[in-house]
Amino acid sequence: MAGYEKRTPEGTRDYLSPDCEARERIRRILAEVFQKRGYTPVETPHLEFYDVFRAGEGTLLESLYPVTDYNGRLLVLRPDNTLPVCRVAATRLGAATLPLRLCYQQSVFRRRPFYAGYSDEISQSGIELIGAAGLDSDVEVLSIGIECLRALGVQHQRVEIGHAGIFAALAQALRLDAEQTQEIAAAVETKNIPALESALTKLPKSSESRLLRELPLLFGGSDSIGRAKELCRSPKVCAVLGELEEIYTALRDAGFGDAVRLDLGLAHGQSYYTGIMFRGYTDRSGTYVLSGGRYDETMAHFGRPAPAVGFAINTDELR
Amino acid sequence: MRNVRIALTKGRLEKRSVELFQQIGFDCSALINKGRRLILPMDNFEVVLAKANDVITYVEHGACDVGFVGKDTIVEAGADCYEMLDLGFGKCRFALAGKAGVDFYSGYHERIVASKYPNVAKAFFASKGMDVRVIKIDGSVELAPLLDFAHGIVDIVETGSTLRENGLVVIEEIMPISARVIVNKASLKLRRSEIEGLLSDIAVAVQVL
Repeated sequence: MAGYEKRTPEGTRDYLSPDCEARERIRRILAEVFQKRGYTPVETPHLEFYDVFRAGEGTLLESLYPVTDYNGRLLVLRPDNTLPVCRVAATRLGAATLPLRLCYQQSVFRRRPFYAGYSDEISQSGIELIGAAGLDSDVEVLSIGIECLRALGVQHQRVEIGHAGIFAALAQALRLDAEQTQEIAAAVETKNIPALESALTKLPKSSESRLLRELPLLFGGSDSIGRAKELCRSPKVCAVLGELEEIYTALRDAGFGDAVRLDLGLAHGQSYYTGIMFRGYTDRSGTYVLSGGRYDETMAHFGRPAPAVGFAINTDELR
Repeated sequence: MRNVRIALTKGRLEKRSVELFQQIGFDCSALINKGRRLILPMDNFEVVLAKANDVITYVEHGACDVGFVGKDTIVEAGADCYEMLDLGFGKCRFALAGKAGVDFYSGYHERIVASKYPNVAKAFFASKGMDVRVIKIDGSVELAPLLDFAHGIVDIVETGSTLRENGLVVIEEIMPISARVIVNKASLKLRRSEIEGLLSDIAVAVQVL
């Protein structure tokens, strides 16, 4: 097919006045929320060394846009904003006192199948709180996320909070190998109960396997935590559940009760999350518009170990 | 807010899906006498009939909230949805088949496999550590080995009668298949009670059918 000089690549597009203005409006509103909460903006290059993204094990090579520099070194169009911001926090801001509160508004690039209705250039606005652990920092980031959706005038919104530690503790207690972990995490994440049950029949019965079996259906209010505690009394799992409950209660006390729910079945088989994980949904989109979590091991990859938590909003889903 | 939309796969799974809804006690008259309508009312739901791949597309993007689709299509195309129930009908299996009396695995020559499901075929041979050239065929795949174009085929097998009639046999089973209920991720979170009510009705009816 000729005429490439007149077109944009599959998965990309031009933005003309109504779309530009809508994007501009969203960016302005979000910039204001970020600034008010003490977050300072950063911009990172569109091109980064591939090595920056090797900390994100969930980043599949086939979803990247690779190029090489004049030395033949592998570069990619950034597929993620968190890792470049971590790189900045560990290097350029290496001498700055923690915690750092950084925000960004820039696109990421991911290859998606053609003609499936997805964009390869995804505009994101987000924050990273680097160098802070504990309840207060989780609540700060989550509440800013909900404030952002409110500031954008989203009527019907739900932010679902889970915790990477639940699945991790169960996988460890059940001594799952890498292959089983991947298979079972995928079944939990897609709430595929038939597949989960068939995978679990191969494992010895225990309170951990009983909880794992029900995990995909434990979402909603605090009763899901109650049910999880009934099923499994392992101290490790209970500690994680307690942490999640504290966050949920704190958000409710802060007046975010109508927007917040729990989903103990967020498993994210391969990702950098180590603590809370969350996703926000609105009635304007069939997919999540906000996604984030705690990633306490990622900063070490850039030579400055520090706990961190953040989120990104896919702003094009909100127009 | 609009009614919950259900996408059904046309054809093989359609009749059983309608029987399932009748079992639940839904008014299926619009599904039986479709006329020219494309969106069919059923109690408090809207039902659309679509090709299997399109059921996944509509549910993934949230144009429909719930879909009935074969596991074969989910495995081949991938689906970023929740896959919450096994309907237990539309049962068949993915299998590797070839000419009777020929040992597919012997020797080190390059093997060619024809399939309507190239991703399934690729993943199957990759799991065996085999380097196989997979070629996508759209129509009757059984033809490929008969023409000596391919050493084998990867396809869905229900009774095996089409294979037998053409002198082909199942060499190895790959995975069992049945119809599944998929759910849009945002819909489950935003319309939980309606969708869970529907899912539990379906789960009960599946036991009876």
